[in-house]
Amino acid sequence: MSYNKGYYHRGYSGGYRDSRYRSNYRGHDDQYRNNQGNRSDDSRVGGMLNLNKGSHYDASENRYIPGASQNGGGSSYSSERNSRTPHHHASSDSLTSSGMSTPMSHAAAEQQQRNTGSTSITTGENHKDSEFAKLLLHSDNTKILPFSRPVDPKKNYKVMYDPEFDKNLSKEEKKSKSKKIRFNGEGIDSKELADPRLSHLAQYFQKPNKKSKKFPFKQLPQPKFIFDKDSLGPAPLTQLVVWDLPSTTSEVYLSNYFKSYGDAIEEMKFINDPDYGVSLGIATFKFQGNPEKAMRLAKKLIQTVKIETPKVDGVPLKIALNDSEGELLNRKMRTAKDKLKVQILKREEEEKKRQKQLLEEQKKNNELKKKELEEKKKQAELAKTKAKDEPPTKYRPNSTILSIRRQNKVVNGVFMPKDLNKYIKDRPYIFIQDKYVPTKKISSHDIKRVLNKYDWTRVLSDKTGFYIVFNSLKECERCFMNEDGRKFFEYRIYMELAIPEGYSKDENEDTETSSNKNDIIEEATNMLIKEFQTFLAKDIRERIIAPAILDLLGHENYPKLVEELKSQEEIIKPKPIISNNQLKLDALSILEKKRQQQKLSLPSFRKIDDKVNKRKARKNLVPMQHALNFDEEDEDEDEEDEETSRSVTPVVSLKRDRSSTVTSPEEEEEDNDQYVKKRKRTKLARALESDVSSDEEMEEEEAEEEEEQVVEEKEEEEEMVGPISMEIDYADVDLKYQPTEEGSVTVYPELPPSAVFDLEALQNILKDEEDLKIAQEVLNEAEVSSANTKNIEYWAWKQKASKLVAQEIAAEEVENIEELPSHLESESGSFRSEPYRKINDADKIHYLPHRRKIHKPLKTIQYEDDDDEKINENNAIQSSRVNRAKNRRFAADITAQIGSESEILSLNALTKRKKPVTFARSAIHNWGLYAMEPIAAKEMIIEYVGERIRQQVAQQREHGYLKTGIGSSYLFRIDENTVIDATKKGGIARFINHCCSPSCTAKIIKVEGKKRIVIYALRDIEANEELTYDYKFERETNDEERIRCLCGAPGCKGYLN
Amino acid sequence: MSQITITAKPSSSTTQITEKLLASCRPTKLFDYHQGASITSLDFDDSGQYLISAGIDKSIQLYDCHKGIHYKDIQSQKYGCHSARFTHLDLNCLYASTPNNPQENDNAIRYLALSNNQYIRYFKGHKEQVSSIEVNPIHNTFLSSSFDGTVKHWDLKSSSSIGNIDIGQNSIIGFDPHGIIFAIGKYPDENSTIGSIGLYDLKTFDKGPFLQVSIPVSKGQIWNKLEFSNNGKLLLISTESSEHYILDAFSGKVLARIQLDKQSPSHNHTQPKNWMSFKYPYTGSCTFSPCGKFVLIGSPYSIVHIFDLNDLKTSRDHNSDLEPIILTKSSNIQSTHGIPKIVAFNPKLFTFATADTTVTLWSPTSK
Repeated sequence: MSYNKGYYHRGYSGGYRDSRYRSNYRGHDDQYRNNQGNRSDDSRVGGMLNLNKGSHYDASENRYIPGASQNGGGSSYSSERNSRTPHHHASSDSLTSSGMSTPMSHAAAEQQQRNTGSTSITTGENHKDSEFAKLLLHSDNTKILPFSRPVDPKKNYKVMYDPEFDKNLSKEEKKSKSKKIRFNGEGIDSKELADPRLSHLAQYFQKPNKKSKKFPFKQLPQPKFIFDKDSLGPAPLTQLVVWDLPSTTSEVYLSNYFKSYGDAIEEMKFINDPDYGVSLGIATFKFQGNPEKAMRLAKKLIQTVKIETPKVDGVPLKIALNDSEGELLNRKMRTAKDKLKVQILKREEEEKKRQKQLLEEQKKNNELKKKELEEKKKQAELAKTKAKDEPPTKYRPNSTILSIRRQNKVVNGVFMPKDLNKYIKDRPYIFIQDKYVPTKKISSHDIKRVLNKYDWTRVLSDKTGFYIVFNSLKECERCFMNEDGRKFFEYRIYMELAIPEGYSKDENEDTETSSNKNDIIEEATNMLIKEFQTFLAKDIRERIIAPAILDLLGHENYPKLVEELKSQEEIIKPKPIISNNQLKLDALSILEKKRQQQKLSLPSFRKIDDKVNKRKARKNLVPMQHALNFDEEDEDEDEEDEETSRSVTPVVSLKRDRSSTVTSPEEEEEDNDQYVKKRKRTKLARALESDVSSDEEMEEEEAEEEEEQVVEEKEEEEEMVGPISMEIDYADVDLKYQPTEEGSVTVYPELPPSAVFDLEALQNILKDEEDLKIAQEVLNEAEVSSANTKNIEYWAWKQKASKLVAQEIAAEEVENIEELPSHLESESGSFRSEPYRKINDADKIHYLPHRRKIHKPLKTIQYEDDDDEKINENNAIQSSRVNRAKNRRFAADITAQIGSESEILSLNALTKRKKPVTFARSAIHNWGLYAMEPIAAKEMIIEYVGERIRQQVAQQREHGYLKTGIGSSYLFRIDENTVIDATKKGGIARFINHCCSPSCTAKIIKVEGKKRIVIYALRDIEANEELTYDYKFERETNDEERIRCLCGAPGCKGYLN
Repeated sequence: MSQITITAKPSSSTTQITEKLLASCRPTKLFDYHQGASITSLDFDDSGQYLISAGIDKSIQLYDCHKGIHYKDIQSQKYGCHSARFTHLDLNCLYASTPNNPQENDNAIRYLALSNNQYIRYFKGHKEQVSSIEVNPIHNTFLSSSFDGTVKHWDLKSSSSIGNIDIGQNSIIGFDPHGIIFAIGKYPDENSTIGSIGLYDLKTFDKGPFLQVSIPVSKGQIWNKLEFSNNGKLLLISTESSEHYILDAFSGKVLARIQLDKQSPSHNHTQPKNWMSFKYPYTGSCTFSPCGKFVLIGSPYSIVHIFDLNDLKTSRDHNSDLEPIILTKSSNIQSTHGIPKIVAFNPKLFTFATADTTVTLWSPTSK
C-alpha cells in the first residue's frame, strides 16, 4: 500500500492537482509543475488497466492527498483564496468576511433575519451557519478547486458485467470472475448513438411508467395535516359554546347528550355568574381527539343541530363554535348576566307585590273559610245519602273475587282459616293461594316488600297461603287491581279479594275520597308510622320486656319450684317410654301370632279373599282411622307443637285440620271432578288386571275393590269423614251392622277400588275390627321398615298431607293445560316430526331448574375408575396444598442456587397450581367446566385467560359478538378500564357457568403487577362436579334485558342480572 | 429502533392541478429542526408520504407529509450531509458526505436506512465533494456529480461505480421519467456565456452524449438543477441567477427563458446583489408540478412564482426555429418564512415544500 500511495501521489494525483492549478493560476508555482510530466503516463496506465476487482481499480479510487503534499500546499491555499474570489462573486466583502463586516445599509435587514433565523435577502447569507463547522460543501472550499479541466473521454467507462450482480454464481465464483468494463464506448459507432426515446415515442408519452417516481399526475389528493406546534395559522376551532340552557340541565346529561353526536366530550364546563354564583345556562366543551377531528365533529354537530333543532330539557339547543379569542363566549356571558340581573330585579318586585297580596288574601280567606265549612257540611250529608242509595254491586260482604286467571269471577263465601279470623277481624283481605306463591319458600317479608306501595295493615302467612289484610276496601281494591297476576321471582301472584261476612261498609268512605289528594303524603306517613311502630314494638320487646322476663324467670327466683320440677321430671320420664315399648311389643306379638296362624292354615291368598267377602264377621273391628286418631286431643297438641316449631313467622300458629273447615267452593268442585276421573281410570285398570292371578296382585285387587265401595259411599253421603261419625255409635243404632238374612250382603256397599293404594285407601277398606284383623294378618307378610313406624301418627299425617298437595297440583295441571302458549304447540301435531329447534331460556326456566333438582349431583361425566378416586379422595384434597408448598420450596431452592428466581418459575406459578378440569355439556347453559378430581375449598382451580382489552374495545366487541350471533358472554371485567375477553382467544375457564349458590369464586389477584382473574374453590368440590361461580352481573332494571338463570340452585334468584 | 411504516395515502378525492389552486397554496406547516442552519436539499419519497431535508448542521430531518408532522431526526455528525435522496426501497436514503475538516476529504456517498439508522453501503469513488445525487426514477441505480469533474453511475447493490463519465467540471444531472436517458448540464465558467446540455443513453453513455446542445446564458451563471418534466416533454434548468430555462426535452432547444428580476418588486435596500447565490449550494429553486404544466420558482423576495407552461409549444409541434419565449408573468405567492431557495413538489400529494433554514409545507386553502 505504501508503494501505491507514493506512486499515486507522485503520478496521477499529483498531475491532477497540477492541471487544476495550472488552469487557474498560470505559472504560479513551480513546485507543482514539476510533477506534470508524470500525469500523462498515469492516465494512460489507468486507462489501460484491465481492472481486476479490488486491486488496481480500487487503488485508483483511493484518497489522493497524502499528508506531506497537503501540508506543502497549505500555505498557498489561504493566500489563493482571496485572490480567486473576485472571479466568481461580484461582492467580495460578503464572502471574505463571512458576514462579520456587513455594510451598514443592511444592518436592519440583517437584524430581522437574525431574529427569524433565515438567509438574508441582501447578503445571501445565513449568519447562523457560522455557528456550525464549515463543511467541505461550502463555496469557500469548492471554489478553490479548479473550475474545469480537460476532458479525457478515455476515462469514460461502463461496467458491462459485474459478477457481483450475477445471481447464477456462487460466492466462490463471484470472487474468481472478473468484471467486464467497456471504456469510451468501445465498439460502438458514433453514428449508432441515438435517442432511445424516439424509437417508441408514442409509447413514451402515452404510457408513463407507473412505477416511476416521476409520474405525470394531473390530479392530486389534498393533504390533511394534523395541527401541532409546527402548524402555521390559528389552531382549528374546537371549543363549542352552548347557551340558553335551562337551569335543570346537568353536566353529565349534557356530555352524554353530545357524546351521541361523535366522540367523547372533553373539558365540559358550566359557567356560573361570578357575582351571584348562579348558573348562566352557558357551557363550553370540546370533542376529544386531535384538533382537526374535534373541529370536524364540532362542525358536523353544528350542522346537524341546524337541521334537526334538537331540544335539551324542552328548550331548543343553541350551539356555536367559539372563536379563538373567546369573543362569542364573552358575548353570551354578558347577555346571560344581563338577563339574570333583570330576573333578579323582577323577582324582588314580585316579592313585594306578593306580600301585599298575601295580606289581602288573608282577610278574604277568613271569610271564605267560614263559607267553606258550611258547604262541607252540606256535601258530607249529600255523600252519605248517596252512599246509602247506591249499594256496591261488586263488593258484597261474604264474597270472593277470584284472580285474573279465573276472569275475576265473584263467588259467594270467603275462604279463611278459623284461627285467622281474630287477626283479620272482618276486614277485607287479599288471599294468595299457597300453590301460586309457596309459603314455604317465600316469606311474608317478601310479600310486604312487593306490596309496600299499598296501605295494608297485616300480612299473614298460613299453610294455605298469604293473607294481606287491609283496613279500607278501597286500598284493598287498588292493590288487587294493580298487583293481581304480577310476576314475582319465578312465581305469579294470583290474588283473590275476599270480603268477610262481618265487613261493614260504614268505614267512612268520605274520608278516603277526600284524602285522595293527600294520598302520597298519607301513604308516606303511614309507612313511617308503621316502621316506627314495628321498631318501637321491637325495642320494647327486646330491651324492656325480654330482660324483665328473663330476670323474672331466673332459676334463682324459684329455688323450690325448680327442685320440685326436677324431681317430677325424674319420676315421669321413664313411664311413657315403657308404655310405648310395651305397646309396640304387644302389637308385634299379635302380628307374629297371626302370621304363624296364616302360615299354618292358609296356603294361598285366595282363601283370604273369600274371607274378605264375608264382611259380617268383621263387625267389631275399629277402622284404622280410629286407631290413628285414638287420642284426638293429644294429636292436636302434637300438631300445634310441630306447627310452631316449623313456622317461620311467629304471628300466627295454625291448626291443621283442614278437612273440617270450609274449603273454597271451587276446590270442592275440583275434588268431585277428581273422583269421577279416578273412577274411570280404576275401571280401566281393573279390566286390565282382571287376568292377573299372582298372589300379590290379588291383594291389591282386593284393596281396590274395597276402595271402590268407599268412593261410592262417599258420593252418597258427601262427607269424607262419614265412616268415622258412624263408627261412634255403631253397635246399637246402625242397621247396617245388623245381621242379614238373605245370604251374604256386604255391610258396606261395594265400591270400585282406587287405583292408588295408600293410607287413605287402606283406611277406607277397613270398615271394622274384623277388617283390621285380616289386614293385620295380610300385612304381616310385608316387611315393615322401622323408619316409617317410628312415629306412626306423624307418618300418617304426612301421607295424607302429601296426597292433598298432590291433588292440588293435579288440579293445577289441569288448569295449566289450557294456558299452553302457542309456540309450545306443535304445528304438525308432534314435536318429534319437526326439525331441531332451540328452546328459549324463558321456556327452559319452567322445567330445567326443577329437573336439575331431581338429578341432584351436578355431574355429567362419569369415569369407570370412580371407585379408585374415592379411595384417593382424602389424599388428593390434602396433597394439593402440600404440592404447592413443595413447589414453593423447590422455587426457593433454585433461587438459592441461581441467585434470583428464574423467569420460567414465576411465569408458571399460576399454571402449576391449576387443577385438572375439563369441559362438557352443561345443564345450566351450553358448556360447563367440570372438576376431574376432588378439589379442596380455597384451592386455586384455574386462571381466566383471555385477551386483555380496554373498556371501549370491550363494548365494541360485545356489540360485534351480538351482531355475529355469539350469544354467550365471555367478557370478564377486571376493573373500570380493563376487560378480559375470552371469546376468541381464551382458556377453558370461560366455560364456567353462573350459579346462584356457586362452588367457586373469581378473584382478581395481582401477579407481577398485572391483574389477573383466578378461580378459587369456595367449598370442597367432588370429582366430576360442575364448577360454578357467581357472575355478579350488575342489576338490570329493564325486565326485557334480564337474563334468566337456569342454575336450579335452592336459592336461585331467577336471573343473572 | 422505531419501526417506520408506510401508511396508505389519505383517501380524499383528488383535485386537478390548476394555477388557481396552486396560487391558493399557503404555508401551513413550518418545520424548524435544523437549528437555523441552511438547508441544502429537499426530497420526497416515492409514496409522497415522507420528506427529507439535509442541512449543514449535519442532520437529516424526516417529515410525514400525510399528517404534516416532523417524524424523525437523523444525525450525521461525523460525515455531514448533502443532497439527501430517497431510493425506492423502504425508507432508505442516499446522501453525499461533506465533512467539516477538508483534510478528511471523505467524498463517499452514504446509503442509510432511516428506519433503523444503519448504513447499508458506502459508495466510494469521487475524489472531490459530491455536488448532486439523482436517483433513477424506476431502477435501483443513481447518478452522482462531483467537483472532481466526473459523473458516476452507481448500482445500489455495489459500492463501486458501474459507470463513469468525465465531464471536466462540476455538472448538474437529471433523469427522464422513464429512466432510460439522462441529461448532464455544464454551466459556463466565469468568463464564458455558453453552457451546454448533453443527453446520454443509459446504455451507451460511455461513448458520449447522443445529443449535445449549447445554451447561451449570462456570464458565469451557475446552474444547480436539471429536471425533466414528468410528462417527459420539457427540461428545466434551474440557476442561481434570476433567469431559468425551459428546454425541449428532445431537441434541447430553449423554449422559454423565465426572468424573475423583471417583475420583482422594487425594494430599495433589499435589492439582492447575487440573486440566489449563497455560501452553501442548494438543490435548485425551481420545480415542475407533477403534471408538467407549471413551474414553481422561488425568489429572494420570499416569493414563489408560478409559471403556466400550457401555452408553450414544443419544437416537435412547430418545427420552425422560433426564438425562445421570455416568461415574466406569473402568479405569486408570498412565503412567510425565509427565502424559498429550494422548492420541491410532492409527487403524490397536492403539497410542495420550500426550504431555507426551515422547511415549509404548502397546501391549497381553497377546494
